[in-house]
Amino acid sequence: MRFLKKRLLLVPAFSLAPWFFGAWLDAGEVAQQVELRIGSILASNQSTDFDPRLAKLKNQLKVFKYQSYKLIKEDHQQAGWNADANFEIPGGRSLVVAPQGRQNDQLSLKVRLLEGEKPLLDTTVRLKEGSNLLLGGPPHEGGVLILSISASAK
Amino acid sequence: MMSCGEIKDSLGAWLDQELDATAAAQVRAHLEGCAACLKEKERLEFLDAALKRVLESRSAGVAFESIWGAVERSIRKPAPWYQRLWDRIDIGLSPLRPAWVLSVAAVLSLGAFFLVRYLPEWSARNSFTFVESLDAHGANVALFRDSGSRTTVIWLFEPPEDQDEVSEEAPAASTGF
Repeated sequence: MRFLKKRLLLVPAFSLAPWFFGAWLDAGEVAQQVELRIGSILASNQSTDFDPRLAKLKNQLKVFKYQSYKLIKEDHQQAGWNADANFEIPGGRSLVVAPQGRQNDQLSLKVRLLEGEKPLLDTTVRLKEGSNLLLGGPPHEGGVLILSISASAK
Repeated sequence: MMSCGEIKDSLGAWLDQELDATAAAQVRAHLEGCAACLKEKERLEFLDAALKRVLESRSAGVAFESIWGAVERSIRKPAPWYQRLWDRIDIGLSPLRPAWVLSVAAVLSLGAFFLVRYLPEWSARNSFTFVESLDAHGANVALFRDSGSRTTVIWLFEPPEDQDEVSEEAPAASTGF
């Protein structure tokens, strides 16, 4: 009986130990870099092809009325906090992304879309790791460009 | 060689014939040469006999047949299926029930923890991207959110050519969604 009582105490203690260990690991982890990923997608009605590399975005792309989606460029960079990462976007445009901070598993990003030197858009977004923002509209090669912006802390 | 204290401690078991042959022989030999322990043995024998007399006289008035009948009926009555099922589960879990509950809770919380930690896409699938500020430098812009696919879209667009600046028509007509 005494053995049983000891076991009663040990089982939950051992079960909870990894949880506390994981929480301790998380608490000590401070991300220094943010990996930024930009996918440039050409959406058009010139065909009905769907690029299989966009399979993960298929549900999201259904909100648009285009018939064809093609991934024309994929780029990723690592950037420090408040540091700019420059991405060349098809059509002579560029995207400047600067991670601002991290709060409650969400990353805050300052995003700037430029056409040459001319700013087209300035926005600040807050996204969870693994989720994305779609930024679209600039015309390109008979269709429009849709940029998928996502980030994860490293 | 057993002491008087040890003999007195063993007397009850000896009288009930619960001792092994060696211990019983030692007690018997000690009693032959120890008047105090012999007296203690006689006291215990007297108590046993008195208790037996009292129980026998009282039990004469007890209707054991009806009690045994009720017990037997209760034993023979089949338990309902859910009771039998619960008994089977209970046999397996009852000694550790609190531990089982805590363990299952710990395993579930660990699973959730590792899903969130190592599969960020899993936790992100139910989260919107929030737009905190938006400046299109005078151009047309639309912000669109679809709850079904948890999609947030910022869309830059040109106004339709036939739409003048004072038109109140919704500009979304020329957007891509």
